[in-house]
Amino acid sequence: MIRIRNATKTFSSFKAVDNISLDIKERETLVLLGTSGCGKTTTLKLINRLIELSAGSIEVAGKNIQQQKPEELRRRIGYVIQGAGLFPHYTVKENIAVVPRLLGWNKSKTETQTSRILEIMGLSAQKYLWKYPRELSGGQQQRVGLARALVTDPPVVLMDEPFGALDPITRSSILHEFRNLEALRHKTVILVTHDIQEAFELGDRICLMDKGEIQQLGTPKELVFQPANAFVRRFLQERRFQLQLQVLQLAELHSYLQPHLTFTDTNIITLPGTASVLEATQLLSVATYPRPVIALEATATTPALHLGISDIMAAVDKYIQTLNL
Amino acid sequence: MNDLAAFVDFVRLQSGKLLEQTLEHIGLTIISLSLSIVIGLPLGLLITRYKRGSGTVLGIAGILQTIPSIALLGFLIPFLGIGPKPAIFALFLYSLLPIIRNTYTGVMQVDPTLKEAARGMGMTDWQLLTRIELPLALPVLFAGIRTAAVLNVGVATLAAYIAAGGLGEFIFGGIALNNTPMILAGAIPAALLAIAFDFILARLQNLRRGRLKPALLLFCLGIPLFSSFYLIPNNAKLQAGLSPEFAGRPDGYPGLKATYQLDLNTVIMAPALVYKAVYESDVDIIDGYSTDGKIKTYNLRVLEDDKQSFPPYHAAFLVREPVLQQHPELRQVLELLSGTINDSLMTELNYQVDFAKQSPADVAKAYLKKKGLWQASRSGLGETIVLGSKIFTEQYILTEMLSQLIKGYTDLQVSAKTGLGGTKICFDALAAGEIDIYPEYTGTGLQVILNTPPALADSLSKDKELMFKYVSTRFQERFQIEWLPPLGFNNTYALMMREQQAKRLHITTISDLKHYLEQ
Ligand SMILES: Nc1ncnc2c1ncn2[C@@H]1O[C@H](COP(=O)(O)OP(=O)(O)OP(=O)(O)O)[C@@H](O)[C@H]1O
Ligand SMILES: [Mg+2]
Repeated sequence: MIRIRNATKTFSSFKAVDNISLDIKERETLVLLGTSGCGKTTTLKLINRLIELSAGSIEVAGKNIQQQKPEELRRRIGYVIQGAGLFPHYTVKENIAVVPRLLGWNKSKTETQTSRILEIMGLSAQKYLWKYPRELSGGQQQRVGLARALVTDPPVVLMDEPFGALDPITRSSILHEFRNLEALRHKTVILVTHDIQEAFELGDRICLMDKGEIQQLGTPKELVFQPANAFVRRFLQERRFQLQLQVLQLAELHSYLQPHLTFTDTNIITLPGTASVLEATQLLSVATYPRPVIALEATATTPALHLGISDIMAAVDKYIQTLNL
Repeated sequence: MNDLAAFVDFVRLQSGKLLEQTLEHIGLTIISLSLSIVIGLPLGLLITRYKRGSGTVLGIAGILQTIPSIALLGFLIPFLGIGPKPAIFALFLYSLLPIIRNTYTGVMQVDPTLKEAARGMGMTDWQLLTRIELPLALPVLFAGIRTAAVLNVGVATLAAYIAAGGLGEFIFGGIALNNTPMILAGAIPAALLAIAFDFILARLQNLRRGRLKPALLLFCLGIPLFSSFYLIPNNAKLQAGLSPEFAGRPDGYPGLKATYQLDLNTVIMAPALVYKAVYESDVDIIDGYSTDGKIKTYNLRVLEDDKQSFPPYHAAFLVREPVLQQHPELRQVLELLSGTINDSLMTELNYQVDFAKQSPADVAKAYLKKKGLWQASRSGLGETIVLGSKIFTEQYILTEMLSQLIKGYTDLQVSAKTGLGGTKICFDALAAGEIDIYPEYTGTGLQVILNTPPALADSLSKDKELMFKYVSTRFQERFQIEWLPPLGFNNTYALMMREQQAKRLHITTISDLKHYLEQ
């Protein structure tokens, strides 16, 4: 969907983005991750020409962006900026209707779509359409910012730290909703963040950057289990174990598990094979009595299993050992 | 209470004129304000796009604002003449700065992330400007317009300096004539206008977006209405430009009217600007003083006062009595000049300063040397004598002479407060003890300060000795201020025309002028 070839951006003599090549597939969520100042925002803005390339080329949907009018290019790409960036003199309704107006939609279409997207974002249209941004909480503003970027159903959406300004609890609840958002499922999303957790939760693939260069591009699992270089290793160091549990699915551990045969436990939680190991361990670590047991659903090839926390940990340990061999 | 009654009386009697001046004042303000919005707003926006130009543009607008208004008006006369045009242009220049600056800062202070969000969503530069930047800059921008409006109401009083009317006519006329009700009749409406403008603009700012358009439309329709004031045709044979003092004083134009049955087509102008106006042929007849050096500079002809309408104006120093009592040695020094300067000599001295551009101090020194009166300053450390003067050359020269004499003959120190506006300001300063001495004229003392009834003034005017005696006695009694013996010259009012025009029309006396006008 997006092809970036040898993209370079130089500010006076400083290379903010240095010879980056990158393909973003249709309907994938790609996360640009890295420390502050590594060139994530710059890369993102190169795509909608808020910043012009110094060298290289970028194609969106098969068309070179240099050969299009910037305004027209931007109207076809959703854009969410940090801290929502809502216009304070516009109501929620007017904020969301900005791009529809630019595209010349008629009034009734604009109105139905505006209400619809707001409801999808979990805000009652009746209650919020006429409010001004200053009357909304940070989380609500963020939702309106997302609604504004998605109202015209653009195939590509760029997001620059969309959850940056939120407290951890609001953030994790929005993150959760976000991942399950139908409106985003079929879109190509490029999301910038410096938060590792967020990157691993949302990204189909992660592009880890440093000093304007790509350090590693791959799935979360590849980054955790096959770091490309010392930088990647060091970057993920602190959270390595948690990330390992997060990227592994229960089904992947199947061959390392010793099945329990006792079914006497009363507190049984059933999970599908696609559930992450992290989720399973978190559920098991709750200190209640009787201790819960995970019931892993049977599949066509594997039987159902009952697992305690020690079973899972032993399996993870074996998995990693085999990988390292 | 008396003053209040006098004020109410004045307003009642002059209500027609007051209404006219108020409307003129509003017209001047609105037209100039509209002009500066039309020019200043786009200019302010332009420099938000070409920031390199912002320093230059704001700098120039700032400098424009520092030019003294009289100087600016004088500078504009050769290009725009007199009347509303230069007044509006000057007001326009003065109000440009707040409008440009507030437009610029208003737009610049819009959060850059909002601008980026707007562009990121696909707005063109124009859409960004009209939909995001301008609405968000509006409060600051409006503050600029309000500042400019209030400023313009104030400065528009100066329009009276160049015959553009407005409430300044009452204010400056009142100051010139020592007429407090008249001053108030101009100043109070002007203050109320400033408040009204500010209030209306504040209301306009708070209008909902939908109602702004009709309001703007109404405003745009109002402008031609006010402009029409200034389109009244003027086809007089000869145009007179008179200073407010001359126009209002019984011994000035009103006296002239009575003596000669002369009816001139007049406009009111600042004394500092009449010469320039007549020189540029914006007017044909002006009033002035018979010893003014500018007569020579601008090649004017003084029309002979063949029916002695103008009373004698013999110059002499006015001194507070306590000063003479404390410093008896001063009297002798002050009288050194008495009777030594005649009319043509004074005109010549004035000319040397006005045209030959010598400093009043040099001219005074040269004259004293020629008369053998000059002595080097003794640099004494005695008490300080404060000399005052009105704003014109002759007074500067006389004050200089006096200053040099006091320093040369006594141990007193001298400081000068020159440029004290008109008669009222000078005399009030003297009466209040803020100055000790200033040059005054017998006729002025009789008419302006003593407010002598016309009949008595008329009879006194016939005999200069009698008049001097009358004036000096009265001053002593009423103010404890002494008239020193006259200096010798008679600086009376005079009507003047351009020499060439006067020659062509064969006008040498005021009676000739009357005949020409009646042909
Ligand atoms: N307009 C500019 N002029 C000069 N330097 C710039 C400009 N914009 C960005 N830079 C520099 O380019 C580098 C990359 O900036 P960028 O905004 O892409 O960082 P980032 O990865 O988004 O960081 P953060 O997480 O802090 O937002 C930084 O060192 C920054 O100082
Ligand atoms: Mg950034």
